[in-house]
Amino acid sequence: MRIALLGVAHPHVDNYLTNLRVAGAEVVGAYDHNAERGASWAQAHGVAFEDDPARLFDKKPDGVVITSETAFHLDLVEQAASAGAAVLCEKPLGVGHRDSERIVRVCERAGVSLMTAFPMRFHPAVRRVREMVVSGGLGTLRALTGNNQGVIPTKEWAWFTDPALAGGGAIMDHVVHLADIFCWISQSAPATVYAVSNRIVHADSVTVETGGLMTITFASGVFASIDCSWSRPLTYPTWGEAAFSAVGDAGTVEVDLTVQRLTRYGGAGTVAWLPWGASINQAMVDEFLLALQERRMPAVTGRDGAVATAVAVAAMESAASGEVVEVPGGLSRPRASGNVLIKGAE
Amino acid sequence: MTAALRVGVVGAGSTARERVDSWGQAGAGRVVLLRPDPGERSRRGVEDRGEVDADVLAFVDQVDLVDVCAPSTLSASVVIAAAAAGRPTLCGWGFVESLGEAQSVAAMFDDRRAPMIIAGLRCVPAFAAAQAAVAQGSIGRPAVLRLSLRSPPPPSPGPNPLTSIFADVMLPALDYLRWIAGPVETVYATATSQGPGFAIAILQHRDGAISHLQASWANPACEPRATLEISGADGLITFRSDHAQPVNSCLSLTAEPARTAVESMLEGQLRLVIGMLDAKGGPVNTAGDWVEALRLVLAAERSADHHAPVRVDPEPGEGS
Repeated sequence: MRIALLGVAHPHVDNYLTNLRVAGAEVVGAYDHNAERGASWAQAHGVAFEDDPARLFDKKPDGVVITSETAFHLDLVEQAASAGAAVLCEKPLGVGHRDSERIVRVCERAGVSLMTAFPMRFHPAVRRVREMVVSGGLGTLRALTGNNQGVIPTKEWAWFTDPALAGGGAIMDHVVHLADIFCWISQSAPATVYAVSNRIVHADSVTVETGGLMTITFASGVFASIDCSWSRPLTYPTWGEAAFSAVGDAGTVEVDLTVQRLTRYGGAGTVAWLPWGASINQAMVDEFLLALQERRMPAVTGRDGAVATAVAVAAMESAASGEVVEVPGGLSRPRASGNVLIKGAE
Repeated sequence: MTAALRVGVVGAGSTARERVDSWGQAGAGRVVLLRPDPGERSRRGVEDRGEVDADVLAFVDQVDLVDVCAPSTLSASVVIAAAAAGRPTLCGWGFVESLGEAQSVAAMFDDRRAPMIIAGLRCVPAFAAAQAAVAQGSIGRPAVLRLSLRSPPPPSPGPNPLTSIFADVMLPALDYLRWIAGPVETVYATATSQGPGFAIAILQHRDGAISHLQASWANPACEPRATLEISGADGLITFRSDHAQPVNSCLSLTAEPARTAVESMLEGQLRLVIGMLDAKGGPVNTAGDWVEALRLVLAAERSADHHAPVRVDPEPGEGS
């Protein structure tokens, strides 16, 4: 498979390059709207750089991985769709609900597959919990509660705190992963959201929210909560963490997605957590490539990304208004099937 | 006062007996268990909400602290007698049926400058230490707080509407969050209406902090557990009660069950209560604090009923 990288702004781009290479894909080149940054990154990683995406598409990639600032997702997806390339797009899908919906429709119309980068879906623990729920092992599912806090992105990743580039702050950055997992586990559409936010941590350095708490009520009656705050101090041993609990009639199951770690003292920092265990990024990239090879929709779709983005946008609206907000199309949105054939599969 | 502190535990059940032992472990000078007459309780308790044996009321005058472990139907008279005698009293809110009733009882304690103490999280050593660290400015201004309390389900919920999971589990937690981050402006809560008891409350504090509180009875075979996280402008404090015991054992199945806890949560709480009564600065809480916690419980219940955020009226003296 021939894959192009569109954008090097996202911190995951280094990982994805490794994941693509491990999976045996050929990385045909990289583009970034900031030519100086893009060329520098490409040179450091042994990748050809193009300062015009058209020249990258001339190389006929089978797919693209979009790791730009969120505000550029739509434009890059449109170009990839026009070129007939499958898309793996970083989250959140767009900077707003309309943006995300347009990204999904562009790919649907072009008949190219669109996958949202939700690697947590591929964590064995998440899959185990979903199996427990689907099989009835947890009894009737009643509630989900999770936390995906982190350290505020700074330096080259400071664009996450620019609402024009990222669509918001901590809510846009950290709601979508758990929102997607909760939709997937509950097998239900999000109906309403209530959220509160503040800017006490890093109050002097950013204009967006750094603290955020929210609840989601699903069409099924299941309710959930998410802590999406950038509430970890800059000296925290890692980027942050992700954990959640599922409550059913048979009891509670708790998941800590970052518990498989070593603790290192000294070295480059004072204390650091070194993760071990399954690489969920690798599993996600493997699925993107396999779906492309088998000409089917990937296990995580663009529609899933649009739903999760709609939850985050609704949370921002709720935090601003102080009211419970309906998730756009939440109750009527069809769930994408995992085995839909795409153009060219016949 | 510690060496000579006389504690009167009022109750007849296993809870009261456990409290007697725990007071002894915590360092009380003398502990007396007063058992209300069971016949008296069954005959009159339900009918008129607990006229307890006269000896109990007389006993209140003879101790330095009253610890009420009697059923709710019996406790009202004891608490009121203790308030009238100006005795520091450890109790719950299970005996009141309305906010107004709670305010009246609190006013009695305040009038006599006697602390009314609910052995809540303020008295748990780790939680008290976290508050002290925040108060000293070690993490800056509180920003995002998370508190989770889980336990097995209670044997049976009581008939009093104030014994929901909000009142039973969340009340001490709401008090604690208010202690750390100040008065609350809005409460949004949601809870299971079927299946195991599980509830979430999201608080917006007037000073800008936000809190996430989780209360769970959905843990049928697990030890109770409390987790705390306070994120501040300059740092983070975390605590997990299941990672807090310095002694852990893994013994043969045939061995006698060993007590490994160096100090149970209850003993730690009672030790702090004793220290609180000794401190010249006075108690860490007033009866009014518990009234405010009860107001938050009622707001959470109303929010869960109506699926909407509930604004909390300003506290007395807070202004609007």
